[in-house]
Amino acid sequence: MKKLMNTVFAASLALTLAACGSSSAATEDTYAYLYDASKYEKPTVDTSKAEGKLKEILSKGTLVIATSPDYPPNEYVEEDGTVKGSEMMLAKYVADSLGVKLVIETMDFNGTMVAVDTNKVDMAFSGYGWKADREEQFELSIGYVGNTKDYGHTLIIPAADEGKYKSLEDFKGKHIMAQASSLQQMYVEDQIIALDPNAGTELELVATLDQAILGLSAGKCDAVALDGHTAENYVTQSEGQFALTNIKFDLTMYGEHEGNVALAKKGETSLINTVNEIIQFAADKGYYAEWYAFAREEAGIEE
Amino acid sequence: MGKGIIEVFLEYWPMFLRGLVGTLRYAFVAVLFGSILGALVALLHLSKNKVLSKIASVYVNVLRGTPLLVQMYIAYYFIPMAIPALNSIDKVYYVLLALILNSSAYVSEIIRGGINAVDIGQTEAARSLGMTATHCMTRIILPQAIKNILPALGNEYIAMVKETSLAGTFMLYELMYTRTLLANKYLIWQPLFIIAGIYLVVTLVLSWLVGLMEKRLSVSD
Repeated sequence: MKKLMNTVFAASLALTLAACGSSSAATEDTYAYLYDASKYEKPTVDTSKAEGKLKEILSKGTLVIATSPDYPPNEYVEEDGTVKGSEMMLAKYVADSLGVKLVIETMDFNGTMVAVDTNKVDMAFSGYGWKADREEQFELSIGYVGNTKDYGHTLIIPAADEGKYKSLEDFKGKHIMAQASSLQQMYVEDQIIALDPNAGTELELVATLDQAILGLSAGKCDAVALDGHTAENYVTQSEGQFALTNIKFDLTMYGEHEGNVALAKKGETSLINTVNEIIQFAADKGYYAEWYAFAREEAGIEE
Repeated sequence: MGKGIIEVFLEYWPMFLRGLVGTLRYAFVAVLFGSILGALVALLHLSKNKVLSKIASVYVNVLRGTPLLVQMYIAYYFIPMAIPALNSIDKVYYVLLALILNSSAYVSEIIRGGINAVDIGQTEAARSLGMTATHCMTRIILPQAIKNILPALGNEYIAMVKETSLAGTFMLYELMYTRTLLANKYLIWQPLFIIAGIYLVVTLVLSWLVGLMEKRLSVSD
């Protein structure tokens, strides 16, 4: 019995140490695999007037970002746990331009915003779109667009209902699912529910988009609101179970806010202005579109 | 509707295996350290000092009375907010901290229950023979209590195996996390069934092992 206990204890200690040894210290450039840094020109960033968070980032030498890696090709994880995607390449570029190391913290989508708010991370890159209430709570970067093709934002439906919907108007009184705090939530609220608040349109919010897809397969809802590109992928993957509606939400009512934005804590204007300069530079040079195309291919997303 | 469950399993089984190893490992670390901490808490709870006993009782009630997911969120987001220097620590430690604290509360109750379940007559007999309180506890009470405690600890491990699924929320590699990995490939429903199947097999095997242990421990009864 004593011998057995000794063996169990030794084995447990070994396991414990093994479990604890898996963390990575940020001593080396962990994310060098994201892109070939030498291939891209970097903007000259004037950091002499750095304030607040930016000053902190420069002095500690790391830019810590949060992301929810469930949105390929913007951000996703490989089977071995490496984080990839166009926004991660952009984050790396921002860190390189600032002359600091990048550290990526992965968490769920809502967590990324909590992390920025609680100073757990310096910024978040997680496929955010511009939203008025988001701008009230965070500093948002300028938008960056990876898609040369405009996929827009749409709804998908069960294949059996194909042809039933001709315009957004037809979704009045239906049961729609969308990801909580996503752009599509806002679109459904503004462009379907607002049409007739008494029509009994039901918007059910889910934590992750896959729950909405499950809901649609289970017949729990009539439609799922999502971006056009992801919509196409889900419809293809479903092999005839879902159908595209080809009805797009009207984005003109939201003004000049194309593409995705990055988040920083409210009030960190020095940081966001500098990041904006870097993003603008990458966009002007066509880098971001290039990274996006690269990430799509790497993530195995077909045209 | 797309690929079948078996097809997905055959294609991605190394991913599920890695997830399972993560799950068993996190649960093991949680229960191991949870047991050490839990034993201390149980001793405090059983101590004659009213203040210490009360502190232990509040500790157990708070940790058992709040959801583990909330505890993980607090550990992960709010500890570093209070002490920014802790931000450089890998997230696995925060999640493990929450798991360990949570487990310690349950384990302390298991140990306290195990000790209390030993007939008071045993203590009285030992003390009347002139044993000190420590002697009585280590030589008479604990050897009997351990028979109640070990199988219950096994069950705590089984429960913890399932609780660790919450670590997937923080993108730690365990079974539930494989769902996120496969959702990236637009595989939505298949992983759920595979994950459920793996959990079921694992918990059944563990229950069987706990049953064997119980049998072995009851030999001297």
